[in-house]
Amino acid sequence: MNEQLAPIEPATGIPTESKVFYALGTFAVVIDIIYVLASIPGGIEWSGTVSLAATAVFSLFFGYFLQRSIRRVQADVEDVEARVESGELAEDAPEALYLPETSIWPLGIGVGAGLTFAGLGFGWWFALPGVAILVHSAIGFAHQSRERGRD
Amino acid sequence: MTLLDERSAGETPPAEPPPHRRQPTGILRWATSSDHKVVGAAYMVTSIGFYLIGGLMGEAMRAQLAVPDNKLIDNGAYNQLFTLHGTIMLLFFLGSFAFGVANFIIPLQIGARDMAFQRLNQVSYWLYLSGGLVVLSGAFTENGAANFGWFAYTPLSDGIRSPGVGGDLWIAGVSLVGVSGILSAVNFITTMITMRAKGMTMFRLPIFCWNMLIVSVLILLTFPVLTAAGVMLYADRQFGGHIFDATVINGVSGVPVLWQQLFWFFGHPEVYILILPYFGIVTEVISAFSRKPVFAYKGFVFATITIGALSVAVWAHHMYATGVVLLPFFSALTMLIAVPTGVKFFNWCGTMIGGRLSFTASMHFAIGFLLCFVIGGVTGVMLASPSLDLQLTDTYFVVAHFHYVLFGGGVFALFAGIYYWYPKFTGKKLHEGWGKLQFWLQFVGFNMTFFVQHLLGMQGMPRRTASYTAADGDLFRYLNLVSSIGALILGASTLPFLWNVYRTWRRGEVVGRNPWDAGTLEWWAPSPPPIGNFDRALPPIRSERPVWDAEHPGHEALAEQRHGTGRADGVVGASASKGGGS
Ligand code: HEM
Ligand SMILES: [Cu+2]
Repeated sequence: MNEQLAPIEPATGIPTESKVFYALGTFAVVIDIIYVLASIPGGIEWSGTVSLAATAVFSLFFGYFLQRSIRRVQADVEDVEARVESGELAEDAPEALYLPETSIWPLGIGVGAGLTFAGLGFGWWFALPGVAILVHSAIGFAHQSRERGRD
Repeated sequence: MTLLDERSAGETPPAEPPPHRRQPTGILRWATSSDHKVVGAAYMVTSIGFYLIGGLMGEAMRAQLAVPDNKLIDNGAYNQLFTLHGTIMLLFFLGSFAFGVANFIIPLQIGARDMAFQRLNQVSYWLYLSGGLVVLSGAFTENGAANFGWFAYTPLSDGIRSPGVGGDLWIAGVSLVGVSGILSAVNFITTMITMRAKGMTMFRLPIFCWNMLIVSVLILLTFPVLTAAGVMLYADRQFGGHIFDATVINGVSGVPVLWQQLFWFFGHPEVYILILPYFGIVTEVISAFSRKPVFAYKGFVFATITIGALSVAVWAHHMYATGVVLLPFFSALTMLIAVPTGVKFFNWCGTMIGGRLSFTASMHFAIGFLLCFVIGGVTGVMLASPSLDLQLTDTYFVVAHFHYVLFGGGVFALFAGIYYWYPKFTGKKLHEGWGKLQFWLQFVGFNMTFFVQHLLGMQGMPRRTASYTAADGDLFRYLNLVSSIGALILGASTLPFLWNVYRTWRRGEVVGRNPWDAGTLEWWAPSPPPIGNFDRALPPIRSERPVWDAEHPGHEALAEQRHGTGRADGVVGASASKGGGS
């Protein structure tokens, strides 16, 4: 079966991932211009104009960012994955891609953030313990990351 | 907790896992595991819980409206009910369930072992759950929960007209869920663009993945606007801000309608954030049960991108009646969305035509989706026309329209997805008979409840009213009664589903890797997939149906697909040389 399959060739040109963002960004630019022109007679409506401009800037920037970096990142990921598969790298080595580990800190962050935000309604006696739990969990989370070397 | 139980994996039980792969069981697993499948299942179970709560609220409102001059629920409680019902259904159920499916399925479909940021994924889940609980906790405060409707218009939602803690908790909880959504979106995007297996180019990604990619982008573009608006509203309520306040102070004033602009700049894309994942699910289901690749795959992808782009430019079609928006601009762009949406209907029908269809429970729901969503689409185009909308806005016509889209589109597709992927989630198949019973109850109940509401709306029944009087006439009376009886049937359709889940947990049919003979990569893994997902090398990926290609060598679809999407000349994306299992 394999011989009927076309071989995999290295990718060239602008990555598809970037093109998606370029398309969205270009569309937002065009639409923003039309929106401004159409609203000039009645006075420019700023919230929509600015939101569309922000959409355009974000999309174009992200498209460019991907274009610059995505191939390199993908190659790195592939390289690590290949080393794990060949047994050169242990699956739980810190630089390995994949390590499902258990962690209590995300739950702590959720509880902490929940209490903190509930404090916006109920007052500081909710927010105070909330912030304490949140900070403690965030520190725990960061420590766990450092021990593992990534995430 | 059935979904979360540890199970033996498919045909080849793996050897005793190495220490770092051992996982706690039961509640502890749910609380601490960063496995994408556990997080995904937690999302799904939690959002079904919210669905049941929100559904009961809907039933309560329909009970109140069943007969004229009913005294079951007073006005204040009714206001809280529709606010919580709308908020729960949109933000804590439909969108979150899609995140659950995505968490579970995306890594499998792209041939990855997990998400890119595993613990961040857990953080998203916990923020989502706590945000939902914060909003609900408002119901236990003195003035009750938020009661200004799910879009919280100012000046109604300001500190004077909606005093009390409930409104603040609504802002706080919705913001938390917003943050959770942003984290998930970052995670989905990173996973899909960096962790695809060797040969899985962008144009071989399953449609569900493509749709989640566009959804994630829309989230990043619009959720920050909602959060910003929420902060401003909170400042107005708590710190005497005047951003949305029309009171003139020293010759200047705030602008109440600014809230609407900002809210809908989030809110309209949000409805696509809600529906696009379900388009993706239905596409997978129809393709699998037609035994065919998706018809005009690239057309489908471009239609999704077009919908995503257009959706950021139509927000003010919710604001025609304010009289301060550019009617021709928004009306034209809104109607344009019908074009890519129509393209998708051609894709779905084209996929089914000439296929070997099997009418499983899942396929029933997918076809139910097609029928109901098309009605919601048509009424949507009607409402896009300002001359009609000015008559129909804030009537039951609108209530009917968005339930056809969200329930007829979203929830039907959701159940199509549940019946389709349940074997992958748990290793057991849901019972087909109970599934079909659920479908028919749901289909009949749904149409009975909401179709008549079009007529009620055209008769002038306003939305968000807790009651009507006998003087409104017999038509009002009968149509409302039909709607409420329909709602009862609709609610009853949940029972066969819950029973089905329970019964399958006790004695469901155990199935192998690929019970439906489907084609995407998740069906290559054992059911349910072990930690790390794949226990054998991936098949070569040269089309968007690698498993089908591997299991049906020489099938003519292979040549057809290679031509359509499997070209190896480098046009198809970055990862043509990526590492994977093959
Ligand atoms: C169990 C089935 C359901 C029933 C019986 C039901 C019933 C209702 C009722 C009676 C209202 C209030 C109408 C009014 O007074 O204006 C309403 C509003 C609403 N429903 Fe549903 N509904 C159901 C399911 C859903 C689902 C699945 C969704 C979305 C995923 C949904 C989204 C909404 C929204 C967004 C509102 C508007 C809330 C507002 O006005 O702020 N509903 N529904
Ligand atoms: Cu809209």
